[in-house]
Amino acid sequence: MIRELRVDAARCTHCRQCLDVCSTNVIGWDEGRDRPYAQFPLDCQLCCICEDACPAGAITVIPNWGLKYYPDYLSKGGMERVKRAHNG
Amino acid sequence: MSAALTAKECNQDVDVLVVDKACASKGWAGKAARTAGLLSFVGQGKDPEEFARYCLKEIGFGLNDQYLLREFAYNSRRIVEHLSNWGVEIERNPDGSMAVGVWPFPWVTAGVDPDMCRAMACKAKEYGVRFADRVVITRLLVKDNRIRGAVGFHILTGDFQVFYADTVILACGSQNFDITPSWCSTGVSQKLAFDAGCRLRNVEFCGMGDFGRIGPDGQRYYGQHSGAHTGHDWLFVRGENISQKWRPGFHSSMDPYAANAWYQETIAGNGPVEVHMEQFNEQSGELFHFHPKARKRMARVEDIAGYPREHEWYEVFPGVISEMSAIRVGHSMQTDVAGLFAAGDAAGAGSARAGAVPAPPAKIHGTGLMNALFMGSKSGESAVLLADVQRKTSAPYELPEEELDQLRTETYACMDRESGISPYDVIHRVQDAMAPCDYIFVKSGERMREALDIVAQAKAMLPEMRAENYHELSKCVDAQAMVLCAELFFLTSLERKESRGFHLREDYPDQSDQYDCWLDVCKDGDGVSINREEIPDESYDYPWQKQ
Repeated sequence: MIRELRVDAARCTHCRQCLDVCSTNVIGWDEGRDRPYAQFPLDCQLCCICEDACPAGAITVIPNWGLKYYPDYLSKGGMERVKRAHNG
Repeated sequence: MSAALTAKECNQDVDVLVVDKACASKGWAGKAARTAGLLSFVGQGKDPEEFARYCLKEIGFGLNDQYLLREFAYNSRRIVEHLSNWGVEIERNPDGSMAVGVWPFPWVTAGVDPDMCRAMACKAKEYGVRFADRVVITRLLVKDNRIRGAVGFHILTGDFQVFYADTVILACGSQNFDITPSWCSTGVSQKLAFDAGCRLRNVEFCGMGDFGRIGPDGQRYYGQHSGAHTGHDWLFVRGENISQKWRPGFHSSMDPYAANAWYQETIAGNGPVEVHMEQFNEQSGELFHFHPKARKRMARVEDIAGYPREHEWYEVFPGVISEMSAIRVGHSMQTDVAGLFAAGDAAGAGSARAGAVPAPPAKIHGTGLMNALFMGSKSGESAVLLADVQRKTSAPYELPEEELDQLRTETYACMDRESGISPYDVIHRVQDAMAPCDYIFVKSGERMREALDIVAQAKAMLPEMRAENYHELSKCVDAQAMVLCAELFFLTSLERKESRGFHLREDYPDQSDQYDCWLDVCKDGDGVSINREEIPDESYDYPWQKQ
């Protein structure tokens, strides 16, 4: 659920620490541009440890909450009960 | 990691290999880095017997393995002190003593470096522990009910991997159904153990109430739950404290009564339910002793979510955290398969130490990491002792080539399909059954059968799953585990016809003596078998039980 893994190219030292820290395998390496990118953005858990671990402070996580699938917090019947209660 | 370190400390000549889906060799694995860096333990001035009694009465509702409970109570402080030998930094006072938050409960909470596994990985390498990073394990190798190793694939290269071992410790987390960000374990450990022939225990207690926040845009956000734990005592509806209305007093976190209160108020149309951030901040400042790095990390996550952190009310909805950690282990962390052990989140509930709650941390914030350390060090010691005997008494094992070919074909089956369903579609279908709180922690027979129908739909999708790359192949493994775990959760929940701990049934609202037992579930042909297991209360024989 990440919109962008923003990388400050001037700061990035290409150490690939960000790849190592990503426990969900979201970050890939763009060999052409020699920098990280969000290869599997859907699976980012927004732990932001990549930001923390980057020795150059070159990474910013920009979330996209809309990417995440959020199931209902009540069953269909439960939702209807709440609606009925609200409508008196 | 604690299992690997302990194994080496018991026998430096033993060959220890850590296989991990993430990057354990550099300490980036597990939940430690993504949690609050808290360790709760029976500290100075706290009574271990009182801890055991509190856990039995107030948390586990009689379903605790009291032998383990007591062992934890008497050893937790020693385990915390031992961390410094592994290079782990714990918050200390200027005089060098451990800085702890003191609760009105029989435990204390210390702040630990959330990146503790980095230090532990360095120490492990110093000890000679080997690592295989980025490997997804798909099957345990079992022959004549004895563990022989495991197979899997490398998530980056796709290479098929075969590991042979005299003993194996499963420590790859619990099942969270990937509903709450950062709380994203997918239950592979549960499926590996179940398929290998192990019993799972306390599956029905694997869902607990936690709240999600409703953002300014009306979007529901699971998981940004800072304040959830102590906040259970401060849920308000139109100025009235409903936590106190439903269960007066101050309680340790994740209280099932408080969670039920806010579900009942919501369902009665009395929402919105709100929490005041200041209440949490006040208490957390006094009672929690966060490591500065953990505090900074939590603040960052809240920042990007745009949540209030200071003096504001915010609206919450009743959500769930599933924490299926049900591999049944004995007092040496052994499973039903000889040579196979389990530790940490994989077997927290299955050990029965915590009782009728998802486990641990369950109701004691900060015992998740403690549980991993406790079970890890026990399993490391047990596994190394048994491995020593196995190595001396039996010939090395190698899987016949045709069986390896079969396992290879099964592993890549989802990639070999030309068309099919995305694993994410299957996962979302399972989540439809595992997210509603009136399926998970306020249950009824009718609703659970409805949820089982949803799980059956997800199960029917499995043979058509298709992966386009190795990352998606790992999601297929996750989806299979989620379907199994969801099914087991509802089957065992239907079987327990009472309310106890975090298993609340509207159709059986009272606790029943008939269910003073554990429910074990295991594979039975193509189906499952659920059996009662008596709790050996008389063997615990503690003086305070007679009071």
